Formats: sequence, C-alpha cells, structure tokens
Amino acid sequence: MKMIRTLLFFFALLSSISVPISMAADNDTVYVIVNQQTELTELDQKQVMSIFLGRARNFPNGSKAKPFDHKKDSSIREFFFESLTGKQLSDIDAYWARLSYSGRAFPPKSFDSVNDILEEVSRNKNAISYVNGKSPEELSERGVVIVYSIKAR
Amino acid sequence: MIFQNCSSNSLARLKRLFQTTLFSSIFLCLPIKYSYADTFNLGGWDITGFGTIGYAETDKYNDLVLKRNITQKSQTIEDKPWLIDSRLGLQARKELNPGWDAIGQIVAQEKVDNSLENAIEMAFVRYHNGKNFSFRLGRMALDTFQLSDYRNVGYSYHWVRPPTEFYGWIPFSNYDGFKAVYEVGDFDSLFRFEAFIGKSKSTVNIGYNDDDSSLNYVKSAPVYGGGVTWEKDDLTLRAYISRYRFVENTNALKKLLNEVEKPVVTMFWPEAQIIAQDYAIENVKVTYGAVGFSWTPGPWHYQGEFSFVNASNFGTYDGERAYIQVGRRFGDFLPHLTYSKSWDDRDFPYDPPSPTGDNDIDAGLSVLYSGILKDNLSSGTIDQYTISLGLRWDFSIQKALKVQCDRTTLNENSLGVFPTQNTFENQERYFSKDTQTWCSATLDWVF
Repeated sequence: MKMIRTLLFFFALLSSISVPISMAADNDTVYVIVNQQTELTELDQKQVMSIFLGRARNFPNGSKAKPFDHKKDSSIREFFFESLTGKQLSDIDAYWARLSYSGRAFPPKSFDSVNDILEEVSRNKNAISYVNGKSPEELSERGVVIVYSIKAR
Repeated sequence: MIFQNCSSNSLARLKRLFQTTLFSSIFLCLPIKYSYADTFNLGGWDITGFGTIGYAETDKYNDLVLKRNITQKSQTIEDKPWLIDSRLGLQARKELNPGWDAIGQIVAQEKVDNSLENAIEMAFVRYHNGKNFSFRLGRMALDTFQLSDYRNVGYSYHWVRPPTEFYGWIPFSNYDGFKAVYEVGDFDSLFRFEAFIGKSKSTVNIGYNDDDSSLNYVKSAPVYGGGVTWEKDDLTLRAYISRYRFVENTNALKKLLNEVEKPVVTMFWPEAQIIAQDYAIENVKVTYGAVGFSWTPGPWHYQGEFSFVNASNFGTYDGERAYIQVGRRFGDFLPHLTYSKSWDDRDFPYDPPSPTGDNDIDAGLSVLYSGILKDNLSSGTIDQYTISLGLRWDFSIQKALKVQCDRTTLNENSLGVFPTQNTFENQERYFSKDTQTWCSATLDWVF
C-alpha cells in the first residue's frame, strides 16, 4: 500500500506539471541545409540520419560534417527527428544520453532560432542543419544549399 | 526527551516524510528550471548532467537486502530505500584544439567508498584524427558490458536498474589507462574496434556485515581487453572480452588466510591452507566476455546480452549470465518485460576435517569448514533468475518516470549480490531457495 501511495503521489505530481510535447511543426517544409562551400547538392535520408545521430563524421565527399541543432524543446526538432528516424524524440534523447555520458560522442550544438542557425551555416563551411519557415529562394540568398527536405504533416 | 518518547517506527515515518518532501522540492525546483535550457557553458566548458530519484520497496522483507550492486554498503541501503537508485551526475567537456577534447564526469551516489576521488567516473583527454582513429588517456568508463559505461544514467535505458543478475556483481566502473578506437563504415553501417589497457580499483561490500573484513578493497592491474561493435539501421551487435589480474587479496581473504595459519589448524587440518589458497585472488587472472545486441524496429525495443566469467578459484564470481528484454512504445509510454538469469553451479569439492577426538577442536574445525570456508562460497555465488515487468513514461522533455516490479528466485545460498542478515557471526548463515518480489520507481532526467 505504501508503494502504491508513493506512486500515486508521483503520478499526480508529474501530471500537474507536465507539458505537451507533441506539438505539430509549422505547416511548411523542413529543409536540411549545408554551406555552399561543401559543394553538395543532395543527401539521402540515411546520410542525413547518420550525420545527425553522430554515426558519420563526414559528408559523402569526404569533407568534415558538423551538425547544428535546434533547442531541445522546439517543435521543429521533434518533427525533424521523428520524421527522419521514425523514433519518438525521447528515444533519440535517450540515445544521445548513452553516447554523451559514456564519452563516445556528443549531440550537436543547438541554437535558439532559425536565423541563428542560418547565420552559423552560412559562416561555417562544415555546417549542416535544418530549418523551416523559409522559402528555397530565401535560403539561397542566405548562402546555404538545400540538400534534403521533409514535407510537414 | 520528545524523541525518546516517540517509537522508532514514528521516527522512521517522519524521516521518510522529510525525505519525500525534500526530494520532491528538489525535483520541482531544479530539473524544471533547467529542462528547457540546452548546454550550459562555463569558461569554455560545456556542463551537462543527469539525475535519478528512486524509491524501492524493500522494508517489507527482512531476510534479504536489495542492492543495485556490490559497491553499495548493505546496512546503509537496508533502511534507506531512497539511496538504492538515487544519484546525481555532472559532466564537463571542452574542445581544446582541433581534434582534442577533455571530458570529466563526477557522480554522487551511495557507495562503500564515498570519497571525491572515487566519485570521479571519467577524466580523460581525447585525440581524434578526424577520420577513423581516436585515442583516450586518463580515467574512462569501463565498457566491458553493453550498458556498463552508462549504467549510472537512468534516462538512457528503460529499467529502473539494469538486470542485477548481469550488472549487480561488477566491482569496477572505470579504469585509469589508455584506449584506442578505430571506426570504419559508410552511411549504411559502422564497425567500431576498441582496445584498452589500464588499472582499476573499487571497494565493495559483499555480504551483510559492516566491518573491516566485509568492506573489501579490490584492485586490478593490469586490466586489458578489446571489442567490436557493428551498427546498421536499428540493429547493434557487440562483442567484448577483457582480462583482469587482481593485485592483492581482499580483507576477507586476508582474514581467512590468517585463520588457517593458526597452529591448531595446521596441526589437525593442514588441508585448510590449500582450500584457503583456492579462495585467494592475489595474482589471479580472470576473463570476462560478453556478446550483446540491441534492435529497435519501429516501436519495438529488443535487447539482450550473454556473458561469462572464467575464474579458476572461489574468491571471485564465476559462471554465466544473460538477459533478454522486450518493450514496445505507445506514445510516451513504454512497457517492457525482462528475463535475466545467472548460472553458478560451482561445488565445494573438499571433505570436512577428520575427527581429532577432542570435542573442542572438532567443533572449531567444523565451524571453519562449514562456516568460513564452505558457506563463504555463497558470497560469490549468483545462481538466480528474475522476471521484471516495467513501465517507462516520458512525461516531459528529457524526463522519464519509471516503475518496475522484479520477481527474483534465488537458489540455495545465492548471496552474491543480495546479502542476508543471517551472518556467520549470528550462527545462521544459510539461505534456502526462495522467491522475492521488489517494486521500485525512479524519476530520471538529463540536463
């Protein structure tokens, strides 16, 4: 009985403060972008997934790949990883916990906004990231190249 | 005076209430505040961390002590179920130069040796050549087994605690040394080859007592080994083998060796020294091997592992262990079922001492044979299996609540992890085959 009371206490406590994490992404396309200097024009789903899960450190052309991410609680991040991997975001976070706290690999550095990410990708020749809310023309003007896209639900 | 009038039961309840309030307050204030902030940077160091608040229902049973592993002090854990799984870890990482980084990790948790030095799980520098090779030097997590290098990070797995049959007996969690890693692959699959060498140490409490001969310092040098991991899509396969040389005998073994050197023993039962030497671990080499897999097709989670310990003496653990876990994700919930088993069928192949004709001497030798030598084998025996049913609830970003019930069947004198209070000193050291059920809950988070 004591155990059940303790569990009920925890569930009640957590239910009262938990926030919805299944927010839909903005109604547009998520573009995976790289710096123009990578000379890449296209990546496939497996290549993008390998880079963002830390399994691949280089682009297919051999140049170094440095992924950048959005904030952990952003809806675009949830949409991106769930669409890309077919996994729940919490499974992705648990995966990164295994890698980073064993010292094997570390999750991509994250930025607060799409504009911050665009600035970093246009500046860093090894950068790869993903954005939404921008047209291909706008992205081209910012000096980045679209290499993969995911249509929003 | 007031406290003297209270019953110990009431005091325990008050203490538990205080602990509940304290832990709830910490949970409400700290993790929520930081849960939406990404990596915190301090002077170029990325600071991250992980934590677990756990509660295990243990006080209903008083014949066995539930422990997470043998580095925990039995009598401290016995009446403090919050301490079994609760811990807090901090990690710092800094990129020094292109290709170089430094990582440190410290974990606060209940251990026999609660020193600061012993709380440092990792402190190493790494060089990566940008392509296939990387090298580490310093203190690193020991990853002989699939989960052993991140078993402190509760958020990273679905159990409340990794299967005790498989992970509870491991004395070492880290080593000081050198490690080389070679990775080769493409975007389809990845091979990772690892080799390491170093030395390791730990203080363990095998058994129930809390005295000099029960708190045992275990040192191994060298430790070396290697393994290979293959990752493809949702499948990971892993094989690892390592070898340990124990540097010195534990306190318990030193006491045993002193006991058999007493004149009355050497005179009337000289074989006792041979038996005691068979327990000794100084200069003994032990081989640990393990193969494991993880497969996560769609919402399903499968994970399993098999390991063996090849030891030729009684002073170490022996036998084989295995577990298999099946889970399925339903949105934020993930129920799972696990079966884990440890085999150890070592026998005690020595005859009791022949009667001397002196009742006092015969009684003393009988105690030595049964109480110290034969029954001490049970301190290193894990011959049991557990069926675990659990539920993980990812109720918020990077936070999970987990509940789990374990039904464990221990064969006769399988006291290698869960000790009994019935100690030799109490003249009752024996545990007959029995089944126990423990339920536990944890709140796990990373930040």
